Amino acid sequence: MSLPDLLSAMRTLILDDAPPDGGLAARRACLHERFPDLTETEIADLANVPPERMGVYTNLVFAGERGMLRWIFPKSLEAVVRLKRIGGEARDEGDILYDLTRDLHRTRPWHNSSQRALAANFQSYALEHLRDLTDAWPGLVDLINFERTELDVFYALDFAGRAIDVAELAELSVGDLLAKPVARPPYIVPKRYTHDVLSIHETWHEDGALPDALPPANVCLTVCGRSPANLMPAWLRLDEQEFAAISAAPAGVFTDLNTLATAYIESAPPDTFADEAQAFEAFLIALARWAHAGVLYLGVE
Amino acid sequence: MSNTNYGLRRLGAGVGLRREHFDDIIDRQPDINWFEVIPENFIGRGGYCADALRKISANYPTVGHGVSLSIGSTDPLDVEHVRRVKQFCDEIGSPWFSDHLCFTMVDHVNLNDLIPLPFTREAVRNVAERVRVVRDILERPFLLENVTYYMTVSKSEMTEPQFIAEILESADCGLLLDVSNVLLNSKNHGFDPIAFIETIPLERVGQMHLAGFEKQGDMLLDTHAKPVSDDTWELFREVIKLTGPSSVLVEWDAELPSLDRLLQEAEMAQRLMDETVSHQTKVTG
Repeated sequence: MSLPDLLSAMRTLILDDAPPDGGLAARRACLHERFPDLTETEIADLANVPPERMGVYTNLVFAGERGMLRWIFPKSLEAVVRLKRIGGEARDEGDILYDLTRDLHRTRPWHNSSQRALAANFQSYALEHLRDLTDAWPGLVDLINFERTELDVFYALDFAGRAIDVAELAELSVGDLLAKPVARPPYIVPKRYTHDVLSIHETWHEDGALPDALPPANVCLTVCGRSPANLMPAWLRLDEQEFAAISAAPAGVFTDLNTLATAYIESAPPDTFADEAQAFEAFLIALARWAHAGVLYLGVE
Repeated sequence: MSNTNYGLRRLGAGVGLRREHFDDIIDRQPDINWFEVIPENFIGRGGYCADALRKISANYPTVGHGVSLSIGSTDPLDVEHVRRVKQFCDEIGSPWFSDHLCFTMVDHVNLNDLIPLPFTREAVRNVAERVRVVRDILERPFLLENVTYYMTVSKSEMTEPQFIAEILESADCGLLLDVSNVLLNSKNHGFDPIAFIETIPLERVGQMHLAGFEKQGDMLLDTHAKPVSDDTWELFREVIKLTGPSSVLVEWDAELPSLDRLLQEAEMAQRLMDETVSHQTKVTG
């Protein structure tokens, strides 16, 4: 008896296809051919398992994984189903996604129990194996990235900084304020999407569904912070100046607030601000927005 | 009556800690004895989940219950994972730790479900060897939970209760007795659940589980999506007559109800334990 061979055969039968339901003799013959290393006893034991019972596990594995994908990628999967329907797919949503999950597992086996690893698998699978859908609507690539980013921010380990208290900063002199060390946690990455996935996100929150029409290309600058109030992901739409300033804060490394202020003001188109005071005021308003969304953190003194 | 609870503290009735209930628990501080926590939902994670667990474990006893140890696998044991579980248990003050008697991963592929083991001596030796390593790393009592199984890959060498008993003895670990799983398996495979209970070493039972199941086709499925069934409560009553009160956990994972509804199930478990103790005290007193 060899337990590794037996467990391996069970895995294969659960994930791939159970032996044909042609009676015991047919199952034994099939198992002999597929698993030549198993003993006669092991072949007999496996053949005695009715295919529908093995199928219970097949269904548990893939339905469970589909449920996890639905939790991580609700909007992306709805978009996948919609795009498949546009392409002529008529089956039930659950069946479409069940088959997609099986194909994902076959091409990108899940090597640990991490949800984040599953999310990464799905993202790379979509880029390679859902090309017909991403060609039909390139925003799907952004939407998958958007939802994976949200998951990463939700689960990321806490950053060794403290939330920015805007009222506290307002008490400081300009010099002291600009000398304050701030950092963008490593899990917070400004995003430049080719499609306005943030508007899709907002529609989803309001209506519980995707917009009636998947939006055409339209650049969307955004960042996902972690709200200090409830520690949940908080998306913020950015303009070019904000994008430049947040990008100027190196991930996970403290820098002074002056560096961000400079990046913010210098990235503004000419004549945006009447004078330095107005530019500084605009920066403070932006800083308050970033603080509220948990995009930047202060150094712990 | 074995009445040892494997030397572990009897926490009474508790419920599984689920993310959907975090805010309610933190805000209301409900009257519940303890929570069971799945380490895989917290290890390597910060933010909302980690913060909620810190707050909850500061106010309630919390006990770790794993889902991915894959103790029956023939892949090398993931020692780093066990070390992370140990650290997690230290952080929440988990007095013991449990996982399932099954495999979830083989050939380095995650099946993400509890796949039953063949009831063979080779499987017994494999599990026992791995349990000893796990127990040494965890530095706290370790319990294995009996799982549901919808197929029996090998029962020529021993029955399920014999398989469980041999593992517990040779690995020298405790049993998390899932009463619902015993009942469900008895109905799906046609055996007497009381005879099953009487065959396993009850002195090794350190914790119990109760959960709801559903009928699908000709089988009952362990969905954890329904209230505990009446016949499970009946079996539970019979079990605690033999074991005495224990730390009993009501599991509800899918179609999750409100916290109050879940707490009602735990209250029922506690009431049955209290009634049994009271009755036995009268009889023996």
